[in-house]
Amino acid sequence: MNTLFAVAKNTFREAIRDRILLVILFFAALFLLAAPLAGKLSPGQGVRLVTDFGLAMLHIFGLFLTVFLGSRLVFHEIERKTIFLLLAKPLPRSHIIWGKFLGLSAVLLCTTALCSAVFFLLVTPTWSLVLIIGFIYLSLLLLLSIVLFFGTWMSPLLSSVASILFFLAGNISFSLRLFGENMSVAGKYMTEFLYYFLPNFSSLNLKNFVLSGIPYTALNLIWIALMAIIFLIIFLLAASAIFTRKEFEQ
Amino acid sequence: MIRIKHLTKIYTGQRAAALENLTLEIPRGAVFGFLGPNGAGKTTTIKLLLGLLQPTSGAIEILNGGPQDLAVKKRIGFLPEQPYFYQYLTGWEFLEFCADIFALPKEKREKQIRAVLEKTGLAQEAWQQKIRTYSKGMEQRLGLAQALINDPELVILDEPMSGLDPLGRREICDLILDLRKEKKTVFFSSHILSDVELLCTHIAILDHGKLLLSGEVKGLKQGKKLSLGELFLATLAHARS
Amino acid sequence: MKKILIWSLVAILLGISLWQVQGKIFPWQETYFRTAKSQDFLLENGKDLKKIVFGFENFAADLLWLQTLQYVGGNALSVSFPALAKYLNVITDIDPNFAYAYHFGGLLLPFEKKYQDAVTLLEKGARNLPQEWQFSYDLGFIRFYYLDDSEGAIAAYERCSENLNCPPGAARMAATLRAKSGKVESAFQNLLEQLDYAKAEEIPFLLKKTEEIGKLLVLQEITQVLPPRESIAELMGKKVPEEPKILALIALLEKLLGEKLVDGNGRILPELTKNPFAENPYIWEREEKIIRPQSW
Repeated sequence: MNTLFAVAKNTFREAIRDRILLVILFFAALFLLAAPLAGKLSPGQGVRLVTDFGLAMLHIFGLFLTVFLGSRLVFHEIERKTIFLLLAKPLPRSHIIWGKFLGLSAVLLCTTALCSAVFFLLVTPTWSLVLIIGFIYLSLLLLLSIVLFFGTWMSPLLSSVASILFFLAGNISFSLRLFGENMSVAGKYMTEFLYYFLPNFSSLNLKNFVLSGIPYTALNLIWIALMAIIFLIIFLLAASAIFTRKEFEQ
Repeated sequence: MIRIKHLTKIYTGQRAAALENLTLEIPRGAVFGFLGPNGAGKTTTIKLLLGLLQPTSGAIEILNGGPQDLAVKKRIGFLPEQPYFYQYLTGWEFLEFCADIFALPKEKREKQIRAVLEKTGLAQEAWQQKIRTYSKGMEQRLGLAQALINDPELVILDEPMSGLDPLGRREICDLILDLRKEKKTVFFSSHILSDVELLCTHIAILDHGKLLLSGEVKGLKQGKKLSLGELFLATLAHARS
Repeated sequence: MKKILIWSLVAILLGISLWQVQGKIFPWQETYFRTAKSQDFLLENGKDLKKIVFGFENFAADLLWLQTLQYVGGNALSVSFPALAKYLNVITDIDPNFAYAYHFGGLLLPFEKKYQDAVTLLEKGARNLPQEWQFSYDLGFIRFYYLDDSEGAIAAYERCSENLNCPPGAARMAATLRAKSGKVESAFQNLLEQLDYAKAEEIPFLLKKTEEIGKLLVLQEITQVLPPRESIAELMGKKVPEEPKILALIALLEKLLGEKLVDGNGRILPELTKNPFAENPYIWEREEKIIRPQSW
């Protein structure tokens, strides 16, 4: 476990010392602070628009950071050949994947907390909002695991594109299943299969439910969190399996 | 210490073997020079020893274990050819990271890091500087430091002298001689035959993936007044004719 | 072998867990989807929004359009789209060239009895896309059918008919409405103009229409000269007055109608039985001083 935390700590340091992170965070803060302008577009509903806009910016920048930083994690180790130093040491290859995941999760936690702090300057903090942000963070972790999975065998550009497509597919899997109910038997089964085995990102988007006053219980949230965690584990295990068998010929 | 038996490696998509039927033994306490022209298969052999590649066929026994054994890796130090480091870390932070991986006890960690940095001659002012500010020589010293941080029994060095000025090369040679005195096994590849002749107890010569010659330096020269360079060239010429 | 077995077991366990958990999430998510009230669309117009879409007007309009379609689809069964006008207003503010949005609004907004919203939207479309005849055509229909605004309808149909791609029905509607609104003269002129550029197959119809309107015009002109109290209806059954005007009127009417209006005793027949334009008799609108077939 020491080695896992060592890699995590190193990944964290690498990410926070990367100037690109600062640039992205700066723009994130800028857009968040622009949220009150969105409120002015609709008289009488300013607070709602500020909240929606702020949460959307938080989510979007989080997604951007996740894909951008995550896609480079493994690739840079190989491209810069620092991987040879790592692999010659008593470090299980799976620990590299899990360690990088942990390290970048910590980075995302910090950035989400920072963006939330800015957001709560504009909007009164409530437990609902904290819950929504918590699940946004969980969706970022799930996306990170997907990015890492693709990053073990694709270049950063391809893995970014593949991850984004997976994210979009996961967002519409629920709607697809609903549409599938009116399709042929084959269509119905296919949409059902896709629903079950694509990550249900739309359910992690709690702002639709919580802010609309739709009733929910703790159990609903537990199921959603469990879904995210199971998928996360699957993608990380798959990434570890690929990385363990990878040959470094160059 | 290291036993290689009929080791073959064919890279994916290539017909010619990078390494063909290599059989070699590196005894404990030896300073083993691994020679050959560019593309002979030296780095491939080293990668196979460290588990970075899987052999197409053959077997490797290293420190009574396999190349993938973590317990074996704990006892090995490795310096790659042209080492790459994390540019955003300082030299000290990088060695702390290596110490974490080797699970060195915290109370001994600082002492050990200091010792290897002093041993490899990296200037103290550079210890807290970011690696991206280091020169080639400084990077090489840091590379050696991380190879020695765990006080390994076996030290594998891939072209340790490459890119160094004569002073730097001299210092590396002195370091290897120190390791020899400490009875560590050193396995290194090099092009600089004069240094190899000075340092090595055993050598092997590789060409196009095939082993041409291996054994103790004294035995190979067989009392003839041959320099290692002449022996090397003669062996290659004979193999290629 | 042992490793393969263990990993297979792990994969199966994870798969089953996933299946179970997703199955638990779906019903709740579906409930939300089916019962969620359509939220108010908060924007009144898209002018401010247009400033912050950074050149992606088309894309922003498309995204809103998709949302509009989802909104309409979600409310299709209840046929209630309270926010539709706002959606379409914002879309067409952001992208004034989004032709279908105007037409869509023209079709659906009248269902909500939001006639004025539909008219505003279509007029906006006609302003922004003058080359599109569709909006004026829809506008004419809404004004005529829903708002009973013949003047407005006529203007819309005539504007439509100025477009070469406009179907001939628009011009006919304009002429017919003009006639129905009592503007017989302009209907007659309009028909004469149409004869200038009508296609061969349309000419017989137009000529017949011109003849009808022409007759009506003549009758109307004649009756205009009569003093108000001396309507034809008032003269029915009475002895023909010796006044020249009335005698001229009767003579003309007899010619137009092709029948005798005065009996052997010099009395005007009780009613005019033959309508030159249709089966039904025509009637005299006293106040507006127009004669029209009863069927109109």
